[in-house]
Amino acid sequence: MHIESIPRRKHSISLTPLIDVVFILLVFFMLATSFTDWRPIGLATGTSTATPGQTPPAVVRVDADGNLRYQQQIMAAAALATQLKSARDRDEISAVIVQPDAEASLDVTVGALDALSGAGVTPLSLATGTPASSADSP
Amino acid sequence: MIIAPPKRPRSNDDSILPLINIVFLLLIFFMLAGVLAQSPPFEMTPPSTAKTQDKAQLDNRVLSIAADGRMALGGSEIQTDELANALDDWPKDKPLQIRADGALKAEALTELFTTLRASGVAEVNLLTQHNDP
Repeated sequence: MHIESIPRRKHSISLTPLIDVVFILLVFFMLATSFTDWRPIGLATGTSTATPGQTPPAVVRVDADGNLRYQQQIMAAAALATQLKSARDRDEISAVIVQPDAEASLDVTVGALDALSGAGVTPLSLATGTPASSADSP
Repeated sequence: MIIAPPKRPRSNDDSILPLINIVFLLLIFFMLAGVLAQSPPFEMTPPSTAKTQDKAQLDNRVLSIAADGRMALGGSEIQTDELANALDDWPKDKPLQIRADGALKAEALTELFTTLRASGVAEVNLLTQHNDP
């Protein structure tokens, strides 16, 4: 028994090919995985989904500098978000439509959307053109 | 002299074992912690947000849009007129994930929404990168 056990150890499998494969797998996963922390902002593609009753949607305009206009007034994002959230809770508005101006970039628009979605204003949507385009798809 | 030779190979393997342990740990960490995602064939810097709390796992068919308006569905580039066809079988209740470059005009995105609505996508999730304020 003692004599047999010694030759077995000598013929043990070499670890080098295993390490090669494991290294290749490691490098693959290191390069292919992404750790980006994605945060989604839910948007309706059509404003028509948010008009079940007579309550009108609130329209927030965003200009190229990131100023938010609601009912012709420039407002701070946080204040606007709280106001719209409470209006939404009281069912005074059916949804919030964010209307970026022609020159507004997505960065600026997302700033407004982030404040609104962070405050919990739920039916959000993006729209272009004139306000009150809440009817049907063109 | 006879005892010494079998000790040498053993000590070689023994010195490699801690290395393998670490490499295995790293391998398992990257396999479990990361997400294998197809990247679009262009550079893109999505807008960042601070307040949005929801988290998202990337879909296989995420729509990526570059600053110059080029689009990619999953990992391959797609033209605007092919988009309606490609999203024909999109389930109604599932939001489509969109990640777009922050420098893109927001109007381009709203125009795209018209196309998406026509192909039956009622909801989209605009993906943003989280930045702590």
